[in-house]
Amino acid sequence: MIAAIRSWWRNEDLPTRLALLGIVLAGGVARFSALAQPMRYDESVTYLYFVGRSWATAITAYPFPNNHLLYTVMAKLAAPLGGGAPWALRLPAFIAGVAVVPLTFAVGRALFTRTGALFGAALTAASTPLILYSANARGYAFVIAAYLILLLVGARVRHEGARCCEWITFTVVAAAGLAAIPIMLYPLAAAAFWLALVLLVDRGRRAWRALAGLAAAVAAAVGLALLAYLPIIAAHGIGALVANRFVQASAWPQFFAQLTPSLGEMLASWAQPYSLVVGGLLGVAAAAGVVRSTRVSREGVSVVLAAYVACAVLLLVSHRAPFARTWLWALPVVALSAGTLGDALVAGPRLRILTPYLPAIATAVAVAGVAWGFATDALGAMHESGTFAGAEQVAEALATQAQHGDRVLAPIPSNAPLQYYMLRAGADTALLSTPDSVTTREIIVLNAAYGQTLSWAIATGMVDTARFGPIAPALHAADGNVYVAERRERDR
Amino acid sequence: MTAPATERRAPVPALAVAAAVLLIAIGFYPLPLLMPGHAAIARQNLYYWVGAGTLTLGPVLALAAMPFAWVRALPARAARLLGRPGPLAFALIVGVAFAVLSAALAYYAYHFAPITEDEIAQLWHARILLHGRLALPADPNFEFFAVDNVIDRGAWLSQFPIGGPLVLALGQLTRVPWLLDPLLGAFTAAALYHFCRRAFGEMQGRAIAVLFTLAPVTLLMSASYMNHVPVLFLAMGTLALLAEWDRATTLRPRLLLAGGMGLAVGFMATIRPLDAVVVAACVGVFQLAVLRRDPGRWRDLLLEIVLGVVGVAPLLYANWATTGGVFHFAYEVMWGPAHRLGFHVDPQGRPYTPLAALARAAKYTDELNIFVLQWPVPALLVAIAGLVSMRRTTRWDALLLGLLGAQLVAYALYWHDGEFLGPRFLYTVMPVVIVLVARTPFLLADRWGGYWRHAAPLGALACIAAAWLMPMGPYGAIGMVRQVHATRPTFKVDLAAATRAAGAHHALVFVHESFSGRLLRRLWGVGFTRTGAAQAFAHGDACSVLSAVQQAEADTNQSLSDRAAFAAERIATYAPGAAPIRALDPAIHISSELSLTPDCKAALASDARYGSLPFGLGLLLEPIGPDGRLDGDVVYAADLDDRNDALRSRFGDRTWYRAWAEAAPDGSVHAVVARYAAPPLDAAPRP
Repeated sequence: MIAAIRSWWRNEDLPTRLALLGIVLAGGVARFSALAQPMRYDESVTYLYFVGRSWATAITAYPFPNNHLLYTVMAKLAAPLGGGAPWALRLPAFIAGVAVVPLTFAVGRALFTRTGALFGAALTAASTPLILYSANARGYAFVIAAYLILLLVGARVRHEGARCCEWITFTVVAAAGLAAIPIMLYPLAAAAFWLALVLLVDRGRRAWRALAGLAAAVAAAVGLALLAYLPIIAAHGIGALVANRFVQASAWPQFFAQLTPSLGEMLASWAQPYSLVVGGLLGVAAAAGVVRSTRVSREGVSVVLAAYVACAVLLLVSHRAPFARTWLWALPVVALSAGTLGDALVAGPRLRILTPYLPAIATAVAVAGVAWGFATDALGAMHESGTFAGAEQVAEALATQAQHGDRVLAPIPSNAPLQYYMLRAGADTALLSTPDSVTTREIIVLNAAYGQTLSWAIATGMVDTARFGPIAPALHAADGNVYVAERRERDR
Repeated sequence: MTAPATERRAPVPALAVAAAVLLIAIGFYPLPLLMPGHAAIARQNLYYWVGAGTLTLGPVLALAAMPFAWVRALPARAARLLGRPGPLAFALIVGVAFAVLSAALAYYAYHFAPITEDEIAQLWHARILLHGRLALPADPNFEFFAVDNVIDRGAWLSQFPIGGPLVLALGQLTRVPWLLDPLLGAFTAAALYHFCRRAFGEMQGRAIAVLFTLAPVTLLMSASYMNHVPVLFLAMGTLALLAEWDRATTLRPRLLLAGGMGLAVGFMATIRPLDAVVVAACVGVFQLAVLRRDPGRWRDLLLEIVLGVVGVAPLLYANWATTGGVFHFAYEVMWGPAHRLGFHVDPQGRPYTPLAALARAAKYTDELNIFVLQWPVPALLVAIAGLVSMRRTTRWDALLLGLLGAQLVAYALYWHDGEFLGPRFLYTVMPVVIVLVARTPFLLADRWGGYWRHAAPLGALACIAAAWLMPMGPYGAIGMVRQVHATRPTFKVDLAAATRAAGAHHALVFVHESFSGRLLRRLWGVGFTRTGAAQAFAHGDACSVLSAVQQAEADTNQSLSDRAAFAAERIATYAPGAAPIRALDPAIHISSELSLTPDCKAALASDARYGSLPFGLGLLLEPIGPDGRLDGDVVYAADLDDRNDALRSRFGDRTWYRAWAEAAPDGSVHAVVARYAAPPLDAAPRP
C-alpha cells in the first residue's frame, strides 16, 4: 500500500505535488482552527450520553441515533489525551476530515482528470460543511472518508482485477463506515452500485464473478457492522437501529414535504463558504461536469449519477427524508465534477495558455476559499448541528456564581453544550434539573442565534412570570443572554 | 446521433409558442395565484413533483446517460412490440385492455355503484325512460323521494339533458349497466387511436392510445356512470371520422363520414350541449378551412348539419315535452335563469365575475397537471416540453389546441365548479393533454436527437411505471384509485340485499339520512327551492329550522310558496354562543343549548343511533307502477323523523322498516334494514 502511494506520488509532476501539498495544508489549517470552536449541540450530547460514560454504556446505549458507535469508541480512546477537551473529542474526526482532502484528490485522479482532481480537492479543502464535520465529535467525517476509500478500492478492482485483498479492504472500510453511522448505507450502496455498473460496462456477461465478489463484500460488511452493533441489539433489540423515530417511514405526503426542503437545505449548505450566487455557479459547473462525465470520466459511468440512482432507490424504499447532512459524503465527488470545469475552460484556444498554471490556480482557489471562510466566519454562521457559542462563558459564570436552589433553564440547542462546559468548569449540572418545588431562583439562558428572546420565553411558558420575577439581565456572552428571576414572595 | 445543430436551432412554430406560453400562464404562473387558497395546494404539489420526480424520473434519465446498450435499446424494443400487431388488432387490444381495466375499477373503486348525485339522478331518469315516459307525475309527498338534481314538482325527471339518461337506459336494458361505460371507454380508445394514427403517424397514434388506456382519469371515469363518458366517445368518434373525411376523395364515403360526424355531434348535444357546441365549432372551423381548399365539399357540410339537427332532435323534443320549450332546459327549471353561462349572480347568490372565471380556468388547468396522468412530473410541463420541441405544427395540432382552449373558455364561463376525478368539465379535452404528453418523447427525439432518442421514451415509461407501480398514496394512479375506493362508502352498500335479508315484503323502507339531509328535504317539502333551502339551512340554527318547518308542515291549507315564506320568517339565524352544540353531523349548526327542542334532541339522537345512508340508493330501487306512481312490493322513502306519519294514509297498510348504515369492525360499511321504531331519546352514540 505504502509502495503504491509512493509510486503514485512519484508519478505526479512537481507542480501537481506542490499544489496538492498546498491544498491539503490550506484544508488542514481550516480544520485545525475549527477544532477550537465551541462544542455544538449534537457532539455535546454524544459526549454526555456516550463518550463521557462507562465503556459498557458507550457501546450498548442507543436511546437515539446520536451514538455513532465507532466514533464513540475512537473519541473515548482520544479523550484522555486532552482531558475530555473539545479538541481531543474531535481528534478522530479531524484526522478523517483532513484525510478527505487528499482522498478527494486521489479519487479525482482515479476517476476524473488531474485538473478535476486538483480543483475538486481545492473546493473540498475550503468547504464549510466539510470543515465543520472535520471538527465535530461525530462520525460524519468517517463516512465521507470511507466512501472515498471505497471508490478508490473500486477503481483498483476495475483496473487490477478483483483480488481478495481488495474485497477485504472494501468489506472492512464499509463495515467501519456502517459502524460509525448507519447512514453509511447510502454511500455504500452508491459505491457498490457504481462499481457494479462499471464492471458490467467493462466485462459484460463476464462480470458475474466480480459482481459475486462485490455482493459478498457488501454482505460481509453488513454482517461485520451488525456484529459491532450486537451489544446494542442485545440490549435494545434491532428496532433501536432500524425502527427508531428518526428512520421510520413517513407517510408519502409528509415524506415529499420534508424531502424537498431538505434537498434545498443541502444545496444551500454545500454552497458555503461562498455566496449563494457563487455556490449556484459551482452547482451549474458540477451539473455540467456530470453531463460531460461520459467524456471526462475514465470509468464511463458517472460516479455522481450512480450515487444519485442508488440513493433514489433507497429513499423510495425507506420513504423517510434524512437530515441534509446525511448527504455530505457526496460533496467531494460533486466538487470533483465541478472541478472538471477547469478542463473545459482550458480546452478553448483563448485560455489554453493557462494550462501550466492550473495547479497553482487550484491552490489559489483552496487558499482563497479558506481565507474567505475565515473572513466571513462561515463556520460560526453555520448553525448546523446546533450552536451555543456562549456556552463556556456561561458555564464558568455558573460555576462561580450559582447558589443552592438555583434552576438553570436552557432550551435546545443551548442545554447540551452548557452541560458539557459546566462539567468541565466544575459546575453542578444538577442545576439543570432542580425540582420546581425547591427552586428559589431561575437562571434563564437564551440563545439569540435561534431567536430566543425573553418575550419568546414568556410566551412559550418557559418562564412563569406569575411565580418568578422580576426578571433581571445577568450576563451577555456571545450569542447567549442570561437572565435571573427570583421566586416571588407570595409563591414561596 | 445528435440532431444536427441546424435542426436543433430550427425555430419553434408560433402556434406552439403561443400554446406553451398560455399553458404556463394559466397552468403554472401567474394565474393559478388567483385561486383562493392556492398557496398550500401549490406547495404540496410542488413538493410531490420535486420529490417524486427526483426519485423516479431522475434516476431513469441518469441510467439513460450510462453506456448500457440494453437500456438504450429498451425504447426501440418497446416500439417494435407496440408496432407488431396490425392496426385493427392493435385497436382491439387497446379496447379490450381498456374495457377490462375499467370494468375492474368499476368493481374495486365503485362496487358498480353510483357515488354522485348526478349519476343517481340520471340513472333514475333512465328508469323513467325505460318505463316508457319522459317524466313521471310528481309525487304528492315529493320531499320523501327527492334527490338533488332531480325535478320533483310538476313532473318528476332529472335536470339533465335527455341523452345521458338515454345512454344509461341502454345499459340498464342489458342488465349489466356498469359495463356500458367501460365499453364506451374502450371504443373511445380505439377512436382516439384511429384519429391519432391519421394525424400523427402510426407509432405516435399507438403511443397515445396506450397512454390513454393507462390514464387513471379515463379508466376511473369510464368505470362510473357519469355522462362525460359517452360524450368523450362521441367527440373522439367525431375526430376519427373527421380524419377519414379529410382523406376521402370520393363523394359517397365523404357524405357517409360527414353524416356520421353530424349525428355524433348531434347526439353529443343531447347529453352535454356545451361540449357539443365546442366540438362543433372547432371541427366546423377545421372543415371550413378544408372547404376553402376543396369547395366541392359543401354538400358534405350540408348533410352534416342536417344530420346534426336529426341527432339533436331527441333533446329538443324532450325539452318541449317536459319543460314546454325546445330550448328550455330542465337545468333552468331547477335553478332558474341564473344557471346560464356568463357573468351574473349564480343560483347560490354569489356574483360570478370575469376574475372568478379566470381563477376557475386557472384551477382547472392547474388540476390537469396532476389528475390526468398522476405522473411524478406535471403533465402540462411535459406537454410544454413537447410544444417547444416542435419543428412544425399541423392543422391537427391547431384543431386539438383549439379544442382545449375552447373547452376551457366555455367552462370558465360556467359558474358551477365541476369536480369529479379532477376538473370533470375538461374531460372531453383531456385526450388533448394525453396526446401532447404522449407525443413529447417523439418531439424531443426529433429536435434534440442523441441522448433524447432513448432517454425521452424511457422517461415516459418511468413516469407510467411510477404512477401505476409505486404506492405513493394519495399520489400516483394507485393513490387515486385507492382514494376513490375509500370515497363515499355509504353509496356502495347493497341496500336491496339488506332489504331482502330483512324479509321485507309489502313494505315501506325509510332510508335514514343525516339530520342536515332530513332538514333540507323538509325545507323542500314546504316549498323552498334547492338554493333557497341551502341558504336557509346554512345561515339558520338547525333546531330553529326544524321548528319552523314543523309549523309550516302543520298548516296544509297554504300554498307551497306561502308555507316557505311562513317558515323562512321563523328561522332564527345561527349565532354561536359560548358553548355551541356540536352534532355528529358536521353540517348541523346549533347556537346553544337553549335552541334544543325535544324534537331536535330526538333528531340528534337518531343520528347517534342510525348511520346515514343516501336516499338515492332507495330511489334507484323504487318500483314504478303502470300509472307512473310509486307502487310495488317495497317502496323506499327518506326517513323524516316525526314527518314520516304523513305517509300513513298512503302506505299505512305496509310494514314499515328503517334502513341505515353501520360500520363493521374492519371499517367496511353495510346497510341494515330492520322494523321501524321511533328512536329513543337516550340512544347511545355510535362509536
